[in-house]
Amino acid sequence: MPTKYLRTDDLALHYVHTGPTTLPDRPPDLARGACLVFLHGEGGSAPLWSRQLAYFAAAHSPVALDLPAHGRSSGLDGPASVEAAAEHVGGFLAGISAPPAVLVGHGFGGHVALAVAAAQPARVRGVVTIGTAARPTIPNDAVDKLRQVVQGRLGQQFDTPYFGNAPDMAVMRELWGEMVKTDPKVRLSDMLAYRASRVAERLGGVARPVLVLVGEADKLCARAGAEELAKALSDARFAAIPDAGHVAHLEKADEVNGRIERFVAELAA
Amino acid sequence: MSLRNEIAIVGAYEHPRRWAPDKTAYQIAAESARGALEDAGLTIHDVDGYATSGVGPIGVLSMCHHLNLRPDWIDSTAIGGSSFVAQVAYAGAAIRAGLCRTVLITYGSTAASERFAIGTGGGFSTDPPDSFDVPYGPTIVGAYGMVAQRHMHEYGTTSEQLAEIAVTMRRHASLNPHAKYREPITVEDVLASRMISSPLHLLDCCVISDGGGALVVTSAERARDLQKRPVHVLGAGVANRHNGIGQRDILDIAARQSGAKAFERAGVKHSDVDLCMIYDSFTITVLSTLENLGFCKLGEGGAFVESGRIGLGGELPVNLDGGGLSSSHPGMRGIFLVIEAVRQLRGEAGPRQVEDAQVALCHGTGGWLGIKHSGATLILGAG
Repeated sequence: MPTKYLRTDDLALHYVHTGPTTLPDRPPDLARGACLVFLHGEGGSAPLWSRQLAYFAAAHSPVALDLPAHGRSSGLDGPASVEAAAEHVGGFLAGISAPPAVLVGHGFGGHVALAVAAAQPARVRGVVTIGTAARPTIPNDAVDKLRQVVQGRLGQQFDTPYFGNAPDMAVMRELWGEMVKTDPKVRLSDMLAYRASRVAERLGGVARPVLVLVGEADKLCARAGAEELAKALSDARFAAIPDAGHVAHLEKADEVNGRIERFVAELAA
Repeated sequence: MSLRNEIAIVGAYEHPRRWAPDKTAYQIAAESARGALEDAGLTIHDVDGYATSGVGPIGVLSMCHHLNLRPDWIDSTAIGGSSFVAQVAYAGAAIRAGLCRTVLITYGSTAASERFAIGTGGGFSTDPPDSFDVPYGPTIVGAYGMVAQRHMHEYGTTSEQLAEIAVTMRRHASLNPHAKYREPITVEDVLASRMISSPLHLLDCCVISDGGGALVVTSAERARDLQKRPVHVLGAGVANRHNGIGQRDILDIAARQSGAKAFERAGVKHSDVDLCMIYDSFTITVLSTLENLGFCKLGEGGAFVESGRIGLGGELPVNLDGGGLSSSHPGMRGIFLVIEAVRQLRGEAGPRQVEDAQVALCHGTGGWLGIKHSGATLILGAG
């Protein structure tokens, strides 16, 4: 899939798009169908959306972004807060001249998508969250463990809470292989930004339709947390994905893609 | 190489990025070249000598193509990370010999975004006699670990003393907005970090970053007409050490020879040196280099680096930019030693400025300390 950089004063934001490659200074063509912009979760990166990019390329214009310091975007430090990340996303949407987009966010990326919808509604048609809770419950020991990795006391942890009950080895390898591309200190700052997020208090300000998805076996975002998010929004639909964990878009891509597609069709209707 | 006061560094630029997955190594080198020439108040058309390293056997020719240069003098010295330190001296010698007038030296690397396992990958030493060791899996960090192990065995040097070096570099990095890691650490943090090759912990090892830089070298006479205060080359020395068929003392390193020559040629004393830029691939590299340069006796390095002596405000501040341990290490760090020394001698180092810095010593180490390595020493003076 073609990749590009959007350069700002001091950053180069890396993104993956579909369709024909364009010259370096020209944004890709985003006119076909709906423009879908995928936002990764804590310590994640754009290629984790490969199944969605491939699926939506047929009739839509999907784009997946690496936030600063994630994946192959430049920068040493990740955004310090959900709002800071949302500002980068808003700038990105403007930079690629995106039409009003459907933002699809995973975990922390879900809060970022909602914050963009609240702050810059003109850039957003709808929001999809995957494995995102109204109030994230990130246990202290998860933060402590990651902090030890950052301090060099522990090696990178290749553990399984991301996945449902019968994880597929290929999916686990793909996620871990992608996550080691981002400095663990950036994943830690994402986690802390997500934990400190005040987005839940401002959900009333989100005046766009939202689809809330959560894996039924998500060990990092309890179903109740996602349901609370859907309830607090003025225009939300909720769906639980059977046999999926926290990375439902990797584990049960067909089901997730189908749900998103129906939501996009509803928005167009 | 008695170049005293005849040769000057008139342009220096350090690329600000430490993580540049959107750029190639050539782009970083070219952007650095532009920065150094602007700093000097010169243009690419003034360059008639060019040097680079770390670009493969004839990569210097590709770099000439990339920069659209057809210089009268070309060099791609390959003695490891110290190459760029040596190249300042070699450029000076070429200028003095009349081979060229203005030399541009560049470096660019994307080691971090290429995920290059510099210290732990091994596999560089395939020439004899190292080819006999290679099947047993030697690594760079293993070679440096061996020197540290020997130092501890001979002199009772402690991990706490080595850690003090890493802590000091991090403190300096906290004053450098471009450094890769800026959050202060303690001796306990270093000791609690993972063991990589005993006795070297993770935080005893340099970072891996992207990055690059460039220098412009010309005659002292020409430097007088340029915009910035020149930095003069006072003396230089280049040396090496190898296995010597197994008979060598691994604590006797190339710095002993290159340092002695540089001091003799510069005509300065150790007490004249206001700051040092010492190649810090690992904490032991700094300790061993300070000893072999003669700042303290062999075996006394551990005590020497304690109690703040090598920190900003101390008796002999070392690596004010945060060094390879915290600021940047794209694989060959030598050029950054010279760039920071130039900033310090010009008084441009901001919050990490050593007060009234007049004389700076740079020492680069290249290759595998304890197995085969090079040392290049440069003593610079404010113009």
